[in-house]
Amino acid sequence: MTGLTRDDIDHILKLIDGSDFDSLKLETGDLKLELRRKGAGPATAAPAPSAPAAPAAPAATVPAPVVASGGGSEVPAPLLGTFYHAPKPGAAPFIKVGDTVTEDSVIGIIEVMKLMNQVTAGVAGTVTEILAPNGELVEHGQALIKVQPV
Amino acid sequence: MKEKKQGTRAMAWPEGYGRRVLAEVDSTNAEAVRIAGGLAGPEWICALRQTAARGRRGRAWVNPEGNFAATLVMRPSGTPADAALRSFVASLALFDAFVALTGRTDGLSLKWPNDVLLNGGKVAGILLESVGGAGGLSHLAIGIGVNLRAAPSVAEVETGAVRPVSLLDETGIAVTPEDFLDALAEAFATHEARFATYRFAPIREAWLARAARLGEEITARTGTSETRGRFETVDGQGNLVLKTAGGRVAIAAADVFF
Repeated sequence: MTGLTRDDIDHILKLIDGSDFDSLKLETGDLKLELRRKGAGPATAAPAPSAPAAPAAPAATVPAPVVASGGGSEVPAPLLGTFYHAPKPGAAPFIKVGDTVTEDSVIGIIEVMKLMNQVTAGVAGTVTEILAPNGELVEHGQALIKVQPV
Repeated sequence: MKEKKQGTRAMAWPEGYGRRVLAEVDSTNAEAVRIAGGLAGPEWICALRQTAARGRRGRAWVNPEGNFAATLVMRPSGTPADAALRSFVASLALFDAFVALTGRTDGLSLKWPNDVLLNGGKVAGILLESVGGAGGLSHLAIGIGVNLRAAPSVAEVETGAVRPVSLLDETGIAVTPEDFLDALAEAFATHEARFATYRFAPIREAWLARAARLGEEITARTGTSETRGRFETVDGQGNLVLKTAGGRVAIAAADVFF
């Protein structure tokens, strides 16, 4: 298979619509296709209180959501909380538009319940947009910044 | 297991936890970041002196000698939201350490999410720091400062903050940082094991039983808004639940004022 027609993509979209999946990542030869259901977020159901702690999934199995519209990758908030652009008030922001980031680059801090979580980009590329304002509440999964992958 | 006599009570250092006591360090949370990559398991770092102690959002933490400063560094499984719930695990452990060392519970209470109050004043502070994204955390550092011997003056803390107090001034009881570490590590290991097995429910219940101002009017302030209401409960996600004129509000991130 060397490419996909518009009909093929429509067919795949219908398959996702009728499934329980929120996203699809397909790689075949030179082709790489990532699709995500609009508004898809984390499951809202809490684990049963009696369930033992699940082991953490390896980082590699949780890709940063990617939008297909040519706008680059959106880095999602890994948790709900207050988003800060800088390490402390008055300090320079961790990143600005045009900066190059690696997967481990810190792009901001999310604070919740006195936990200050330094958010890593999870993707390498160039920052094209800062989406979430400084000092405001972000939801789990909300796009924080946009990165054009290298 | 290492045993140590503490008064009439044998303190047991919890199995599986590392223990290092440093004469001096810049900040125990900074040291935690430096050693996190090579950790085999959770480890307590206690410093008898910090030269660059810090609090939330770059605020200084005043840390005179004789006070307790330590960080528990760990590489937890689970989500960042799970890591945030350790605010409650850590403050419960602090509460129990005070009880174990002083033999008293009167005057002690917890303020959402993790301040320990003694006679209504702030005797300890907790700052959790983690690094990670949607794929998980690389580490979690739980920094804990306790005014064992001396409290900073009111002028040294943020305006409107709870009055700082020390254990010695309030109770006349002198505790060394190393003895405090042993009691805290034991209490933390107990609550952490409960959290790992049964999740947040028993932690929440124990925390609420020690909560200050439950059922009373309190104020939750963020950088951009203020909510005043009756402190109803803490919900299953750790949110502060206030009953306001406009209904119930669950608050995840705020500073609480009484």
